[in-house]
Amino acid sequence: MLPKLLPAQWTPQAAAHLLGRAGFGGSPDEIRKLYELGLDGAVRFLIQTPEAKDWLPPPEDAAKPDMEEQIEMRQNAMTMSEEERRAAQQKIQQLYRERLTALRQWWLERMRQSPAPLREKLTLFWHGHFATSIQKVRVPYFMYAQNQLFRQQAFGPLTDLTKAVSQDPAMMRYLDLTDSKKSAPNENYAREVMELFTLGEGHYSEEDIRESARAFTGNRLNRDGTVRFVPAQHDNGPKTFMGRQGNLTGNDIVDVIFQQLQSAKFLSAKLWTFFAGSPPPLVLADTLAKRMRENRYQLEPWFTEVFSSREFYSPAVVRKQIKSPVQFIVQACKQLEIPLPPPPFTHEALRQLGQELFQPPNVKGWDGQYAWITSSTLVNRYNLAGVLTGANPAKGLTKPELAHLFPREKRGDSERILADLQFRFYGYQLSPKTVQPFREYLAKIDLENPSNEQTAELFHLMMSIPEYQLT
Amino acid sequence: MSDHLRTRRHFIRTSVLGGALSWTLPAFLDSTFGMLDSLAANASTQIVTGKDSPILVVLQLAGGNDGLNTVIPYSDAAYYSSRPRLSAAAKEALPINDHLGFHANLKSFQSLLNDGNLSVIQGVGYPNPNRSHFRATEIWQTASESEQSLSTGWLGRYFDNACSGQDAACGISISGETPQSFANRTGKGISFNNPGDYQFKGDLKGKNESYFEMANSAEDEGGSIGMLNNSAGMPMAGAENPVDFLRRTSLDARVNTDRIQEILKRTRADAKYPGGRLANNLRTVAQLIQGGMPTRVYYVSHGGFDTHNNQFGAHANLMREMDEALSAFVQDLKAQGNFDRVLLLTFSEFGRRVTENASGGTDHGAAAPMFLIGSGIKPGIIGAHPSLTDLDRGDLKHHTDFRAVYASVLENWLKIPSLPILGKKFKPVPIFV
Repeated sequence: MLPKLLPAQWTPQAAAHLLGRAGFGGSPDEIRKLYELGLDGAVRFLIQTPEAKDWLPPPEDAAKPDMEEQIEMRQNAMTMSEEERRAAQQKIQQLYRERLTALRQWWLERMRQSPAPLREKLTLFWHGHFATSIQKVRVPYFMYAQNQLFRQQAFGPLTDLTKAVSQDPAMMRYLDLTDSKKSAPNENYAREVMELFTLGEGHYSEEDIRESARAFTGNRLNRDGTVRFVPAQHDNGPKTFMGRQGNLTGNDIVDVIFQQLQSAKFLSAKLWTFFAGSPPPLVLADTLAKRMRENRYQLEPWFTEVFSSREFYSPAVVRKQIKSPVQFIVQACKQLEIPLPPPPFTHEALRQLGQELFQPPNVKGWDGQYAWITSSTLVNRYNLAGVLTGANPAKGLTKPELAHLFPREKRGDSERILADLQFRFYGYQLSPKTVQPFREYLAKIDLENPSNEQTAELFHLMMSIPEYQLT
Repeated sequence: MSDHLRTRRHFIRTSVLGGALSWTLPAFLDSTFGMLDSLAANASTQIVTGKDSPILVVLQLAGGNDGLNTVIPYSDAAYYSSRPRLSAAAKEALPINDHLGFHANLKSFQSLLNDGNLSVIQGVGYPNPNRSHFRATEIWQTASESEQSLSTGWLGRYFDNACSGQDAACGISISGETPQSFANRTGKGISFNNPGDYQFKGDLKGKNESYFEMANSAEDEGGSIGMLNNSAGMPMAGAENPVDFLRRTSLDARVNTDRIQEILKRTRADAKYPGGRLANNLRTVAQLIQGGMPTRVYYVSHGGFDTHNNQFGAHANLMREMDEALSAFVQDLKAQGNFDRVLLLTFSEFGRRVTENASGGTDHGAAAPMFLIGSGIKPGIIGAHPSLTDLDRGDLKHHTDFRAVYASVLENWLKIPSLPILGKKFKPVPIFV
């Protein structure tokens, strides 16, 4: 077992850290509730809370497998004029755009409100891990179906999840499995499944790629978004893959991959990095891999150990992760206790910050951490904070309830207010030097009767510092 | 003068960060400056600043520009037979030689060519061309092989290699999203859709500026800048404490937003620009050059080239817009006295199919020409026009790899070895005198 966090080390700050990483943070009340569960209770809550079925139904149109418009168009294509065909095509594009926008907002809403935030966080992890982009996939329904797959199988077993991904329509389109056949196996998926999804570079041969590409042949997409196996397109001849011989199928390949110790090393290190912020030190990496294998790639016990470990609350981990753009927005809404801004706004903000949901930049997903921050994205973050706090109000956005965030009964005591606000925005107390400008700001305003503008600007200032970018 | 001060002054003189720095620096930066300065002194490529440095402007023609109707092979019978409708453009083509002419709306391209300031690199592409916008753009931006996926861009790797110790302003992109070609490991490059976006809004710049400055300069516990060097001796962002990295980026953003806004207020165009987004963006670039930004690479994108339907009029408009905008840009740079420092390079993710389609448009193709504008280049047509009959799946075959063009630009214009940036040795195309 990894050394466990001592009971005395379980503090409200530790709870804030856990909720920030295993979920998308929370309001001070939510953090306090988690704290009161104790470490074991808090970890159990995050891992075991079942997802209430359909608590937030997906946008109806986007969650329907039908591609009626496409089919109708194909049927009518012969009789349509060039002009009509183009108009029909444009209509479909427009519908797809609307559905994608609705899906994006739906997912962000789940992240903000889910009773099982770790599942949403893992869904986001798997989206970046098995990166698939709408730019090539085109059909929003496929992205929705993949998203649900990630959510349902978020905790593994990873062997099953990887098998499911190999037959997932969005992935099949993205990495060219849809027309991979016996006479011309496409190696794109075979390569990435090993390089990016399970083993990492250098842990397979070119021969392994060629052989496994043959094994993955034969699946085809139906028009209703389901997958069928076409025996005639599948290469059922003998193959040799990582020392194993036989008429291997795609699922067999995945089984062989997960028998390698390297897949546990690769995946446990990647999961740790996503949740802890930086790669595990060598000794820890070995333990994490061992545990993942012992648990047969089932993640609940693995996460229980990780989130209870002293290592996860160490200075190398705490407040060392740069928030992703998605985390930035969702967490800010939770801290300010405001609803999400309307969809065109949230998506535009995420685009400017460098993370478009359902549209990772390439098959490697998002690099994360330092890559989130450039001179431009930092300016955009600070300006976005101005809009969310209401310091620079924008149309259609709900402003935070200032009387609640800046309660009347505490207004006489600027130190108490500052302490509360620091817990709200950072989950801990900043160094005296860092907090000094806020203290000076409070000294300049009428503490008993601050204007809405003055409080909003204080929040804006507190969110526009380097420390706020970290979780 | 203490060593400490001298180091700092020396840094300010040699670094671009100091270029417009008129206020007191936060105390914690002193140590950083010393360190960055020593890194700069050891770097294989010396930091170039000020009025003497060459500038590259990259113009992306997004969507796949139809090279065949841009540089028109008007004496080739195959051109007319492949394009019964679109070949009408040949009638008014502006002759370059007996075989080739510019699209009629590229009037200033013709005069730039006659003045010796434009070259056309023919038949540019790469092996196994990809015909998806998304993927083909990625290949051009990252300078990868057709089957290879890279997470950094070719310009980003240039920043990583050549702009060590400098601030983010070594690259500026004026486009909706940061181009993939800018992706790099050291957080370099600035991008904005319009210059107004790249500034701190509202109270942060207004009445609360002093608090904002203070809150972004404070040194928290453990505030040393613990940067390690990688094998090349360059600072490596990954080895740094994230809060220090953020503080440095924040300072960088405050310096650059102020500097850029100040320049845009102070400078005026020295030429009359037409309307439209491309012209606006090029005018901004010209102003930033005039204002003395230390930027080495500017990036501008011009969209709408995906002409599947009724291409004739749409393409003519695109040509006119590009021609007029570039003409104003060149005049402006000449009036400023900066034309000799600037090289403009165009690219598009692919050319278009030789045969026109049934909708009076063209579908995704492969090889196409690239344009270079500047002085000091070898003017005229470089390389043969690709054959219109010996095709690859209906598309023109390339004879010049785009990475060989990048290699020339890196080696001969930006004066930096291309191998570390392109990862492979390409024989530079002879495009410079």
